[in-house]
Amino acid sequence: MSQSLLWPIIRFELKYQFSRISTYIYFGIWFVLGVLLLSLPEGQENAELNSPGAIASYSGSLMAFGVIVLSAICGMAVCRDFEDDTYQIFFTTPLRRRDYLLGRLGGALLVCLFVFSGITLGLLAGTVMPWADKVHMAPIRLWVYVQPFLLFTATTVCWAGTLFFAVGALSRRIAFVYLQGVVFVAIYLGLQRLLGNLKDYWVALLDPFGFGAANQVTKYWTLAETNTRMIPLAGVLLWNRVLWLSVGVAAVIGVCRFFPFSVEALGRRRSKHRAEPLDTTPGAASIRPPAVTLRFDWRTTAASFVTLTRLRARTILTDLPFIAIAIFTFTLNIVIGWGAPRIADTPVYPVTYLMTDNIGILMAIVITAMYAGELVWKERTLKFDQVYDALPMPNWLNFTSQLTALAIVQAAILTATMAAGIVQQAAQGYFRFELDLYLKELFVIQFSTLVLYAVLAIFLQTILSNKFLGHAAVIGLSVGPSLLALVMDKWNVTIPGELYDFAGTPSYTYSDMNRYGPFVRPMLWYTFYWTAFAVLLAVGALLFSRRGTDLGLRVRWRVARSRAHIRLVSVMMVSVIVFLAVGSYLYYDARIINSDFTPRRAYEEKWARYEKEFKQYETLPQPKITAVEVAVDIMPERATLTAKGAYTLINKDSKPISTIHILDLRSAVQGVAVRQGTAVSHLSV
Amino acid sequence: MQLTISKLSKTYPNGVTALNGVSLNISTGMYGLVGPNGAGKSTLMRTLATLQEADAGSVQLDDLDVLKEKDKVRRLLGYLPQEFGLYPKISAVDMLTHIAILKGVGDRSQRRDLVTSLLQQTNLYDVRKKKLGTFSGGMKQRFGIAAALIGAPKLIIVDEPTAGLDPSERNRFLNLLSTIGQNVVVILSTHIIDDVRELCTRMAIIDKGEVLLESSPQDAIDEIAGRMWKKSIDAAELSANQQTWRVVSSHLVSGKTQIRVYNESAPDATFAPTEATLEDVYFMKLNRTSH
Repeated sequence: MSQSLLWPIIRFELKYQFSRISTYIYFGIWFVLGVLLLSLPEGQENAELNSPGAIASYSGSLMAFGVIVLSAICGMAVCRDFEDDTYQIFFTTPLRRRDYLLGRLGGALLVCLFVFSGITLGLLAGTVMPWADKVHMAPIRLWVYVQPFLLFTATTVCWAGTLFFAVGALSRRIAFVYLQGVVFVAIYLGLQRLLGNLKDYWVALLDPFGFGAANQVTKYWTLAETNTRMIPLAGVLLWNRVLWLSVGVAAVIGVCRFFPFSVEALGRRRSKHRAEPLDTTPGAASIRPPAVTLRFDWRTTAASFVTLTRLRARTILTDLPFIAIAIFTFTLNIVIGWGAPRIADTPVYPVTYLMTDNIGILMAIVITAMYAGELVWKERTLKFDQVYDALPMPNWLNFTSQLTALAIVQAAILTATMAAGIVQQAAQGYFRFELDLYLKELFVIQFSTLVLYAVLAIFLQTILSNKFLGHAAVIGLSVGPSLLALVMDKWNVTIPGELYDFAGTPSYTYSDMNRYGPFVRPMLWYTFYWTAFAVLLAVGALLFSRRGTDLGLRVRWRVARSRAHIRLVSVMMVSVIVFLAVGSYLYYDARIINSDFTPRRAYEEKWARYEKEFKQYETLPQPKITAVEVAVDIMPERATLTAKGAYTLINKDSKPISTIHILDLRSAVQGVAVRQGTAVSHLSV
Repeated sequence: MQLTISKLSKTYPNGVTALNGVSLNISTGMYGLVGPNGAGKSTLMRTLATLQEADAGSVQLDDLDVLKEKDKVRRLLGYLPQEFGLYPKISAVDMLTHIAILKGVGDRSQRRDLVTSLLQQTNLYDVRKKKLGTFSGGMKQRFGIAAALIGAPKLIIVDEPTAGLDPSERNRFLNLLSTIGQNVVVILSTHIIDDVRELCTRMAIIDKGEVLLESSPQDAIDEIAGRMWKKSIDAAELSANQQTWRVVSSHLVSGKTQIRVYNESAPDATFAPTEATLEDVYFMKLNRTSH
């Protein structure tokens, strides 16, 4: 009767996962990333692009984002039965608890191994892509690719997958499953910033993905060693892997020990406090409800907007994971910023503009991506959609209330950031808080970026057919621009990154001397550019928003076309035109008016020419600078300076110098006078 | 109020034909839809509730084109889906108020009275401040009913509303529905034939996306009145009887199999005459298609 059902359950899980399109999409994402990461960059010096160290580093670091997929697959393996309410069927069969848990876990881990083999296969394929830099590619040795897969990818899949599985099985709440991956990444990124670069032994030991430990092992390798030696499973790396795999083992033991296997116990866990049953005296209920007047004017629309926004914001603000992240952000900000800030190892005052540069915005973006998914899918997850979708409110209220709720949540995170900054300043006895600067930096500059992200995330969650896919897309967009930059560099296209990196604005420096100075104008222009794009996304979200139960591709397309009335279409057209026009102008401004910019290729060629032409003068005796006296006039409002002065150079050599070379990059030297000399050659590059 | 459904058809992407040229005329009062699982009742109701697109056909509510002017229909609509969930952390009174605002009940005091009255009538007043996540199945169902009835709907569509209600709750709900349903269109789908018999002025039997019968319950019964016969038999004799007579249904009465047979006159002396029921009509209609 109780023979082991382990294998049938594994097979069931595999069959289920391999019948889902998302499994193949995840595989495809990692495969494509692998191909691009290896085939796009160009090699430098004699370092090989597919050296064991490089392959290991890709295999390890991609897993840092992979945990979101891991959590989706492994966390859902048990949670699924509770979402679909099939648990009562399973747990009333003579199935053994251990078989059920280990079977589901085993199946999920095998699927994950398949999904993440995409990284390795992608790297392998990237090596032989026609556009790859063949000069810097070593011939393929299969072990170079397989060993990092076993060492980094497979170990991380096993321990983290098991941990996520255990959390999913023990909490049996989809919210946990869905958030744990993102929270894990958030904490990881936060701690990474907290602990600095992963060099220290202990940091290396505790790195969950192992590539910090690998760096520690290979730190003192020569180039030749890096190109040829496999990363040995020894020293800190060995302990690192052992440590994290034992976390996985602990999770298995934990879940087998604590997972209840009776419908009663499981049911109780899901809804702890039931409202007491009522006396159901058959009262005379046939009274007509009081008459009401219905109105559908702007007042109802406004009231609907308020009540929808309040409901949505409240669901997020009272959500446990949100509160956890908010507290985490606040604490981390304080911990990271503790003590006087330093610039170039010199302690400086904790001035406000140093306080605003912290992980708050990173966390706010993570939260935005996460809760955009929650909001867009809320009614469907709760199965409230049929009631909700039949209510008489215009489509756009749905979108605007979601966006406003997200903006409120973002503002809450930014407020926590600001509070952390002020606490730090006060703790160091610095009381010039500059609240207006906090407001400008956080609630104007960062906030506008965040709202743009919110529009993007809502759009993606609206058009994509499930929440995890939406998250994958958000990750894709955060990795995408740097990959795109590599592609463009490869073909020598020189579009400024801010033009294709979503919500990108040129980097700026705030200074207490001239505030935002010359950066205000470009920042406004780029924000305008991305706002036009966001309007386009918003229109897309309105057209394709789900309403009703008919969500096939063809029907959604037809519905979108019927929603595209003249006003919406004209908004769309205007935003496309503005986006393209402003984009062209910005390109023109950045690359044509400002002719200073040199494409990388041309730049390299220039330096190559420099080296070739002037190599012959390398050993020529030159005079030494002994005194500099310059008067500099800085005009911040015009972003220029003029300098006037004298450099004194003395020949300290015993022999006389026949020729003096001056490197004049910007052709600014107006004249040179030499006392007691003979000749001057004026070189310009 | 007059709801005119003509030649409505819907085939899902997976090839299932849920509606196949359904035409119905529905006036004010209670209208019952009955049919087996998968007959297309829910698809029809979702289409009327503006949640589903149709492939062909039209639906008019007086002058409104239900398939096109969805927003206007939603202002008149009260809809209770067959299966639904609720925000777990919101209290009943807050959620009902929320829905009332969205349904256009703009006046604050009117809204408060309406919410209070509906909570009382669905017997949820005492738990109005409890979170919806703590509600039992029956309480959830009653909350759904309150949500469907809020905002004086002119077109009420309730999909298996009595599922999960105990007999007294069911009674209470049907009373409420028939009180409200006198001047508006109420469409009710159900598995319980008695609900239709007791409440509905008109009814339709639907199977495989087609309307098998459209009539008033009494007319439908009158059609076969005086031609129903019953007899207790051994379970083994069932198939022999089915070959000889038109057996409408067989069920157990105190552990013995009783068959009900349709025949112009008494089949033989072992059969006793019996009063025709709506259930007989239902089974006769369904069996004719499955034969």
